[in-house]
Amino acid sequence: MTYYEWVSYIDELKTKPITDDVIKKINTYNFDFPPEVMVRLEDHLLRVIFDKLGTIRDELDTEIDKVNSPQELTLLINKIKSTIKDVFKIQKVKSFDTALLNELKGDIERYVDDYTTTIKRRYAAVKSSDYAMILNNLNLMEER
Amino acid sequence: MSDDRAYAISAANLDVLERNLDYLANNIGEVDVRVEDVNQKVNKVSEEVKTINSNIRDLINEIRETTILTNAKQSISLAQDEINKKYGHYDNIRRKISGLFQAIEVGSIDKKTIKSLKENALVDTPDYWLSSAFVAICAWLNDNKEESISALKDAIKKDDEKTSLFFSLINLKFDRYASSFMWLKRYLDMQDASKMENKIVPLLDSLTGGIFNEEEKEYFLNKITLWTNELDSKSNYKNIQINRWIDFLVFLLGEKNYDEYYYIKNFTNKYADINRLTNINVSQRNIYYYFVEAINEKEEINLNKKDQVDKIINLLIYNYENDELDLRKDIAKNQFIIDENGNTTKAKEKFKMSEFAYLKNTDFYSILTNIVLQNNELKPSINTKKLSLSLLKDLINNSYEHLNENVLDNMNIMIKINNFTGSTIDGKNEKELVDSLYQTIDKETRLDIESVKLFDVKMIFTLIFGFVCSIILYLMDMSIISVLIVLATIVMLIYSFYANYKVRSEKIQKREQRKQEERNILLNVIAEIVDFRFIVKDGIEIKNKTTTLLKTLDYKNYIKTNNDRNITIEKDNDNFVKPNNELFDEEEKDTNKLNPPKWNLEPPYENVRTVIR
Repeated sequence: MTYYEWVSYIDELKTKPITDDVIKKINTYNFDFPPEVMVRLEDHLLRVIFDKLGTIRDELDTEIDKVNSPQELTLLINKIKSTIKDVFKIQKVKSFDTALLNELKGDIERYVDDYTTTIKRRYAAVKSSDYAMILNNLNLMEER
Repeated sequence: MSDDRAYAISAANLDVLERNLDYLANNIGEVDVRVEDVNQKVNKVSEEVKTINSNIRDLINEIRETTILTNAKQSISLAQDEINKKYGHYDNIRRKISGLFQAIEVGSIDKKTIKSLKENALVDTPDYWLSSAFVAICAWLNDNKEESISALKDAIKKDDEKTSLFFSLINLKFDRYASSFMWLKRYLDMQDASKMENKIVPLLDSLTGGIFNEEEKEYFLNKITLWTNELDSKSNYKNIQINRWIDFLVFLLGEKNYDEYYYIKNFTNKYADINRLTNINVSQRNIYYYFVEAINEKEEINLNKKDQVDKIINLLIYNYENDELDLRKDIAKNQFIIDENGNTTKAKEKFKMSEFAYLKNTDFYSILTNIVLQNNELKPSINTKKLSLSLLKDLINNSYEHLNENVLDNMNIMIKINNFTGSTIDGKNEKELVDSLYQTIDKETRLDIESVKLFDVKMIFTLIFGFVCSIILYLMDMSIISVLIVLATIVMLIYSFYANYKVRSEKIQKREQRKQEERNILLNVIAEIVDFRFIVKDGIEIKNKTTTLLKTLDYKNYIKTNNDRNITIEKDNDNFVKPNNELFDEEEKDTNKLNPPKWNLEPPYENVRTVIR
């Protein structure tokens, strides 16, 4: 695959889930690009990840006020969790170097903290049992 | 003996020489030390001169800044003195108005006090419109219709626009909506879209703040539509704003120098275009987020209707006197110099952002743009900013189109690596380009490689020579030597073959290495081109997002609806709207106490044209 094809493929991941097949495709491909080009390709992958995180963050910002019950909140949280899991799959890509991955992890942690804070703030007034359930469902830190 | 002597002399001479040399060496050492010392001193002096130079420069700057600061402070003081001298009496009447309203609110004023206040007002400030307006209010509160109308006429004569706007707000304050509308209509009818004063800003605040009723609101909105239509029909007004917005959008893009295209810079012919387009597109998000933030900004304080009306009345009477404008502009300029510690460049930049507050006449679009872009002292409300943004959306989108019109969709990029030349638009043809590069290198190196023959002429001669020699030697019955010659010839041939093979292999290896190196360059060039296209594509997507965002803006969303009214219309007077203020009802029985009359403060002229100004 040419560089153009790889960039297009990675860009499409913005709106698609990062499945095991995607990871397999990336990992089994024998990249023959010079190191600088590989760094550029990794940048595209990172961009996709941050785009996904940004999208879910925007969605959370707009959806959080529409939530009217703990059940709806659970659904929303599950959606966030699923996207975050999706994003974390990128760790399985072998071509990442440690520094980039660590940087990514730090950023994801900050995003997750933001989500948690937003949800806590929004539902600070919810009765304690619901709140406990929300936090239970959230479980994002443990997932990490 | 002579030898001994010679030895003694020579030894003695050498001793002297040695001592002299030692002495010389010591002296040289001393000179060295002194030179070093001088050197250090010179360095020290040089450092000191540098420090003194820097200190002098700092001192000069300090003196300069202190002088600038002192001058600025003096200028403010002089301007303030002049304002006090020329217009100090304005403040007196302003304070009286504010005091009167406060006293009415707490019910601590009676007719006698009002009468005495009124008497002094015109004497103190005979030429000031607000004095006549004040007299009109006082006369109204004292139920003196004739005097009130006469004062109103006088105020209108002095400043029709301000009087109309002021009485529209005063009537609102006393919940007399019908009269308020008459004054508002009068004020709006006077407006010329191409020559407006910035006191329209507080009126826009009133509109967005929801203090007008439906009738007033509709009339105002119709006027806004008329003004924008009028300005749209005159391209020069639009063009000025389009250019202002282009400048602002460029400012939002920032002075970025992306400059991450090493390979495009060195191996293509389009670096300048690519770099420019990248810098435009890489920062499109700045523009998008500027508008997102502007649209999502929330009003910090939500004033109730009464407080809003009071705020706008205060703004109108304190901030919009054209006579004082130049002096106030002077004060503001110098205040920025003080705030910036004498840095005149920064002070100028800051002043530019608030210059709008000191403009006398400008067009409606200009006012709207200033509301959005300038951190002006008139402090329009957030909703007024959003309303202005909505009214300007087509104009902003137009500016945005101008900014991006130079995007070259099918720009063909020539790549040149040594003797290879190829072209691409977006990097899709990577394989063809690599093949073409290999072919070029193959073609270029073929002759050179082929010139190295594995079996060359020298080897043929060696072979013939060895063969002939060995036959001759064999015939001469020297078979051993003959065999040796044969063996030597074979060894020589093998060696020559190997040497040629090695040279050829090295050349082939060099060619492959060159292929690899130039392929890497080519792939880097292609990767940069693909990324450039990606950035442009992303920039266009963001740009479309911004354009759509602006298109969805509807100014009606930023106009609050006034639902907090409780209007009772008195049947015995069509125009009278009873104040929704219990204070007046309670004190109605006391004739000396304040009791606003049933008649209203209405414009004494039906048509604005009847007034000779």
